[in-house]
Amino acid sequence: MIQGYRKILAPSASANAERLLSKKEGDVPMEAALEIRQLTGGYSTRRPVLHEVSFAVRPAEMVGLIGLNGAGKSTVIKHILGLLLPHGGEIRITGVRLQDDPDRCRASCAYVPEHPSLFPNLTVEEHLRWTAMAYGIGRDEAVSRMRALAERFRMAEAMGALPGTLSKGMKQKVMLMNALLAETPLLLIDEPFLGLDPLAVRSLLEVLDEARRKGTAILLSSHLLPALEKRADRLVLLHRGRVLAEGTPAEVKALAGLEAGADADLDDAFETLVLAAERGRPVG
Amino acid sequence: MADEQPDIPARLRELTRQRAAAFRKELFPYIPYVLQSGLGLVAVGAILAASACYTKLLADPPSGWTLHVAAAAVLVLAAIRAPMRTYLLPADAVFLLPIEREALGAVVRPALRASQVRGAIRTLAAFALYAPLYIRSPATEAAAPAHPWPLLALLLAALGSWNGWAAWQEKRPPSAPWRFGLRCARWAATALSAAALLYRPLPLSAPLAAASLLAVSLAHRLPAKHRLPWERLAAEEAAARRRWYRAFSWFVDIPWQDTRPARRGWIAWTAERIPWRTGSSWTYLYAKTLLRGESFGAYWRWTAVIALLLLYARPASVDLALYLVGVWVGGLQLTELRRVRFPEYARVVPQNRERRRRARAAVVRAVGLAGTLLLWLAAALPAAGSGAGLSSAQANDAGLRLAALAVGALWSGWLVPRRTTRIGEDEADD
Repeated sequence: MIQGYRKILAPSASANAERLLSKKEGDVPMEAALEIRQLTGGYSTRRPVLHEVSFAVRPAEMVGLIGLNGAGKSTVIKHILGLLLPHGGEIRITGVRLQDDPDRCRASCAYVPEHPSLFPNLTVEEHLRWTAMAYGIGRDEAVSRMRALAERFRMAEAMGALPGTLSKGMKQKVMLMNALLAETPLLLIDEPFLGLDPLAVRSLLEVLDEARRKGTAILLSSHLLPALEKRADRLVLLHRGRVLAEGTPAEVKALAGLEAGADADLDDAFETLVLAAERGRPVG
Repeated sequence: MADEQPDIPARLRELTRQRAAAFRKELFPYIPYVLQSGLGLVAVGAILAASACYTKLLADPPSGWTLHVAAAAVLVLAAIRAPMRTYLLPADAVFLLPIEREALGAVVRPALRASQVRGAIRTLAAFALYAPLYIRSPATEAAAPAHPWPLLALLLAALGSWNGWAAWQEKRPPSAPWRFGLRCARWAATALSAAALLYRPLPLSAPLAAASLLAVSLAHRLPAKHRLPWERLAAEEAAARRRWYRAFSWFVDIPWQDTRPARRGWIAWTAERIPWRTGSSWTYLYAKTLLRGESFGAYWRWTAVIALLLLYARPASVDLALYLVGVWVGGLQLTELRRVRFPEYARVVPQNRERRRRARAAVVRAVGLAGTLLLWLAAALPAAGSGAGLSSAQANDAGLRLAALAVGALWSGWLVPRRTTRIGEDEADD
C-alpha cells in the first residue's frame, strides 16, 4: 500500500506518511467485522478492476471508501456481497471466509446500493416485512423497529405506498430503512446521500452514529468528503483499483502534505493525492 | 436557404415508421414459435367451432332477448375499444418537446386517423356479423325493415370513428378523475347510441345518438388539457408492447418486460397470511409480485369471464370444453411468474436460493388451483341445481365433471408449477 503512494509523494510527505502508516502495515485485527486481503477482482479476469486491495473494518468503526468515479469502490462492495467472485485474495466477514459460507456472510451484512433497487410490487411496509423475514427477525421486534425507522426518516405516511409513487430520495430512504432494520454486524453503504434532502442526510448520519455506538461496523462509499471527514474513523482512498491511501482523515491529509489544523480540508487532500497519482509524480 | 431547413414533419413521420417497423421486426420472429406451440391448432378449432355455432344460430335464431342484447354488447365493445399507436418513447418528452406542434401533426394526427378508421371498420365488421341475425331473429325482425342498411351502417361506422376521436381527447386532461369520467361518459353514450340505432326508429334514435355524442364532445372542452400528453402516450405505448409480449409469452419464452403494478387490495391481502418466518420470504415476495402484476390481472379477468360463461353455457360438452380452455389458458398465464426479474437487492439478503423455485411453484399452484376450483364450481353448480333426482345420464355427467376437476387439478396443481420451476432469467448465475 505504501508503495502505491511512495512513488507520487514529495520526500517530506512520504516520510510523514510512512511514519503514520507503517504501524498499520499487515496489522489486520483478528476481530475485524470485514477483512479484505489482497483482493484482485472485477468483471473480467482479463481486465481486473481491483488490484491487491487490502483493508479492514472493525466493529464500531466507520470507514469511508473514497475515490474518483470508476476507481473501484462499487466493485469492492459487489465482491463483499458475493455478487462478483474474486480473482485472487480473500474476504472475511465476522471471521468467516466468504467463499466458504456465503449465506452466513450475507446474514452478517446489510447493503444499501447506490441506486435504489426496490421491488415494484411491494409497498414500503411490505419491503420491510420481507427484509425482516429474510433476516429472521420476529414479527413484534420487526414491527417495533419499522415504526422507529419510519418515524426517524419521516416515512410513516408513505408506508403503504408502492415504489412507483415515491421520489428518488424516498426510495433511497426505503433502502436505508431495510438495511438498518436488519441490525447486522456490518453495514455496506454505497453513495447513500444521493437524492436525500438535508434533513434525511442528517437523520442518516445520526442513525449511522447510533449504529456505530452499538458496535456496527460501517463501510461507507461516498463522494461527500466533508461528511466523511467529520464522521469517518478511517478512510480508504482507491485509485484505479488500488489503495492509494488509508488512515484517519488527519492522516490522509498529512499524506497529502497538508498540516494538521491548516485551513485545507479533505477535499484538498483528495485532490492533491489523486492528481499526483494521475500525473505519476511527487506532491508539491 | 429555405431548402436547407430540415423537413421536421417528414423526419418525424420517418421516425414513427422506423419505430413501427422495428417493433414488427422484434415481434415477427416469435410468431412461428407461437403457432407451433399449439395456438394455431386451438385458434383453428375455435374458429371452426364459432363458425358452426354461427351457422346454427342463422338457421334457427333464438326468440328471446339474449341475442340482441349480446349483439349490441359486442357492437359496443367493438366501438369503444380505440387503441392509438404513436410509438412514442419516454425520452421523446425531452427531445421532441421543442417541436411539439410538428409532433402533433406528424405523429399524433396520423395515429388518430388510423385509430378512427380502425374503429369504423371494427364496428362495421361486428355489425356485418350481426346483420343476418338482425333480419331473421324474431326479436328484431320487426325493427329491421325500418332501418335502411346503408344508413345504419354509415351511422354505426361514424359511431366507431367518433370513439377514436373521443378516446384521444380523453388522454389529454392531466386530471385522472376527469379522464375516468370522460371515458365513462363515452362508453355510456356509445352504448345508448348503439342500442337506440339498432332497435328504435331512426328518426328518433339518430337525433338521440347525435345529441348524446355531442354532449360528451362538449364535455371534453371542460377540463384543462395538455396539447400533447407525452407521458401518457408513451405509457400507453409501453403498455401496448407489454400486452403483445405477455400474450406471446404464454406460449414461448420471451425476455421479461417491465410491468406496472396494480395495488389490488382485494386479493393482495391474502399474501399477508403467509407465515412470518425466514423460510417463507421467497413465497411472500413471489405472492405479492404475482398478485399485483399484470399477468394476474389478465388471469383473474380471464377466469371471471370464463366463470360467467360457464354459469350459462349449455350443453354439457360446451361447458366442459369451455372449462378446459379456461383452465389451460389460465395456467399458461401463471407461468409468466418464471420470467419475473428481481432487483439486485433480492440477491444480497440472506435468502435460501434453493427455496426460490419451490416458492414460485407453490404460489402458482395455490393461485392455479383456486382458479380451477372456481371454474369447476361455475360449471358444476348450475347443473347440480337443475336436477332433482340423479338419472343415469346425470350420473355420467357427474363422473365427467369429476374427471374434469381431476384434469384441471393435474394441470394447475402439478404441470404448471413444474413449468415454473425451470431456472428463471435472473437465476442462472445464482
